Amino acid sequence: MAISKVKRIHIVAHHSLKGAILARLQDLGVMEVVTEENPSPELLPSSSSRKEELERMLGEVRYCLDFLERYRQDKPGALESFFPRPVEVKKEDFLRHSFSYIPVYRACLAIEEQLNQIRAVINKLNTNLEFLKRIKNVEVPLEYIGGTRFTFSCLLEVPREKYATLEEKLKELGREWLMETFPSPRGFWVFLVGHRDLEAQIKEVLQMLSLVPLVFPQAFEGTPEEAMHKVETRLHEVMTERELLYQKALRYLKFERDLKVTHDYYSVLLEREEVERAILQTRETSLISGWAQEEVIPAIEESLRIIGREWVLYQRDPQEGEKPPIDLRNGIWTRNFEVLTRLYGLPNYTELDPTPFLSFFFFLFFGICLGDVIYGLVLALLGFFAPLFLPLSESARRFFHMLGWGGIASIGAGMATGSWLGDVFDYLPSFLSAVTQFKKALTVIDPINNPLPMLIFSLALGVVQILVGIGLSFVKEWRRKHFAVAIMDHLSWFVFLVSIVLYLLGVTGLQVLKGVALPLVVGSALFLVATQGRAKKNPIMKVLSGILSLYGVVSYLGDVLSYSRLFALGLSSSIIAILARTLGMLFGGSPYIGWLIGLLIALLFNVFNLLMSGLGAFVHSARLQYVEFFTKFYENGGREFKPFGYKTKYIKLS
Amino acid sequence: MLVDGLVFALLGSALAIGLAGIGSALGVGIAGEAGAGVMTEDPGKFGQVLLLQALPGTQGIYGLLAGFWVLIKLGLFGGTPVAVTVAQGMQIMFACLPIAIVGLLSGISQGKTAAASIGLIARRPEETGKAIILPAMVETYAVLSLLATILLLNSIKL
Repeated sequence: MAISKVKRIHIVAHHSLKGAILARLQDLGVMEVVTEENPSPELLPSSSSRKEELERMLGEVRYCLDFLERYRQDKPGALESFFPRPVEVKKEDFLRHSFSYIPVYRACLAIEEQLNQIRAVINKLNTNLEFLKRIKNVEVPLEYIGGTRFTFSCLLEVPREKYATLEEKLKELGREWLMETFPSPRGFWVFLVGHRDLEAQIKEVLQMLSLVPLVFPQAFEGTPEEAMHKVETRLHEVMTERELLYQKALRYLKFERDLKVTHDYYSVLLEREEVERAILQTRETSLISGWAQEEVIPAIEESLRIIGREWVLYQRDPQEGEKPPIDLRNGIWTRNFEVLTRLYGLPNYTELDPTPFLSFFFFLFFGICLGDVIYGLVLALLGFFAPLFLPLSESARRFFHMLGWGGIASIGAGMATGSWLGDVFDYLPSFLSAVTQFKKALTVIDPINNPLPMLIFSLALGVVQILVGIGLSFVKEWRRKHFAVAIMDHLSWFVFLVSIVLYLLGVTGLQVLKGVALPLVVGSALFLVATQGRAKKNPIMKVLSGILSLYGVVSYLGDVLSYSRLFALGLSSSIIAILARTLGMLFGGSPYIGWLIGLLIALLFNVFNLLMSGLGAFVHSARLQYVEFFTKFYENGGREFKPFGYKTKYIKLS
Repeated sequence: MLVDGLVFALLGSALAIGLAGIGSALGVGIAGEAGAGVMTEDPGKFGQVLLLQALPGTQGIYGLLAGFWVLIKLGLFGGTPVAVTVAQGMQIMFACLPIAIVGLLSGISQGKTAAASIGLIARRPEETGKAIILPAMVETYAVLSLLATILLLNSIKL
């Protein structure tokens, strides 16, 4: 259907042309290059040497970009970071790219290294500061701690309850010692000086009381207070130095654009290099094979002719057993819904593209599920206007358009069911009563007061979609010339289900149909019984499995009932809107700023409802396509067509 | 007697809102835990994770909707309260049970499926579409029970 026809292409060229041909092909961006499967033995893989080098260079450029990103001040906003604005570059400038990133890279590395050193210094200074803060009450120059030829000294933290014991024990040892105390949170800081002769004994006492002399992280000068001051000054210096480095880093932001272009330039080269690895060669020639649409082949030949004459291009149709890549081509409206087919999985090359069929149903179902004029309007405005202001990729743009169309369907469904932000329009001030009248005039079904018609309508849509599904599988098999399967497995069910529906219509109203439908029901049922057991050998089994196959009607019934969700979701979004209106009016009735609170509550509820109902409408409409519709006819398993071209991350070529 | 009927009807409304709300709260919680785990590795997946975490939230909305419908039906919102017999009150209560029970259990179950789907997108972010469909399969039954509650409530004449 809308899967474009592709041809297998083989370009055989002299080695000297290989690089130029690949560059041309990448520039054209219309051919997917693949490795030949089952190559003949004289074809050898080609070697490419630049891959590692390119990867290294790409890594270095990426490092620069990450580095700049880390230190930039003007962080992008939320919207900007979701939809980054690409750098626009002219194609000629891009291909003649000449920016040398190495100086920037070296500078970034150097700055980073300095920053790391500074970070280490800051850590150390902070640790020292913490340490000195602990002992800031000690008024002893710290260089005194350690000892002299005849004395030794240390600083101890002694808990209040141990102090007396310590003093007592020391007195027992003699008099050649000296203690000075300073307050500490847990007791005292004790500066203890003793004669060398007593050192061993004093240490024993300390050990007995489990007191450990304080260990200094480094040598300090002056009292702790003075030392702290020195450390703080140094810290301040280092911080200033760091600030200067940040500013230096920021100066390199002016190269950001060049770096981005460089990044994409190298990634384009890298891709070409990777493709080159897929190419097989003989002693003198290279074989470039791949897929391309039939209509672009002349353009390929045209541009190769410019390069030289030492090449040949062969083309042929895909062969049995080959899996050509899938390129969906749909109309301007249906292509917005291609994303749904992609989500499920692309079709096989011989399958039909389900997008045209699902797009209409999805459009309709989404509308019914959201089912409100105002919500639809909001969604439509968002879907159609957001892509005008945001730099979106083609696929994201289509997604927005799909939502926009869903909004339009929802406007229609909301008009038909009389849901305009729930029932807000019934409470308009009297001078707007014309609007209320207009709304009422458009309403066809009122599902809130009379739910059955809407429910039946939803189920009827289900019947239609399932019949379309069976019809498609009939067409598919017929085209493949599997006439027996088409008639016995698909057409028969189609007729059977249609006649059941007609009969049911006959029972409930149109008596005329009853007479026509009954023979059809019986006839098609008998036909199913007769044909569905044809795979079995035993005649009794043939009949039995034929009869059993009629049980399949239950699964169709289940499928149809599943469409009742359309009704339930549509109702749910309008009832929550009514709830929002009710709560809003409830609070709005209070004096003073009651109206404001009421308005805010109603607004909050409605935004929440739009988000949740929108999500639900998308998910459930998609599910109906996938589970109820696709299972009737669709087989996925295709592979996306990925032409060899310029894949860029930051830039947009113009 | 009038009061008694109202009690049952309000109990039904409260069950629908409460139980379905619990189901959603648990489900969203389960999915959220999984989501937070994934985001410690890759905070950039916030959008997709949030989408999946929101999916089990619908049961609570359906419950609220059913409960609200009962309140409208009883005329408790602005209108004049309708007289309800015990039989009618119990009818309303029973009509609320489908969404109350299914909402509770399907919310939890959908939360687990959503958590598993979050695990899926952690490894294969390109499969977000499929990951969203799996929890939606569970939700079908919540939608069906909501449908049952709505149809039952609608069939009760006051």
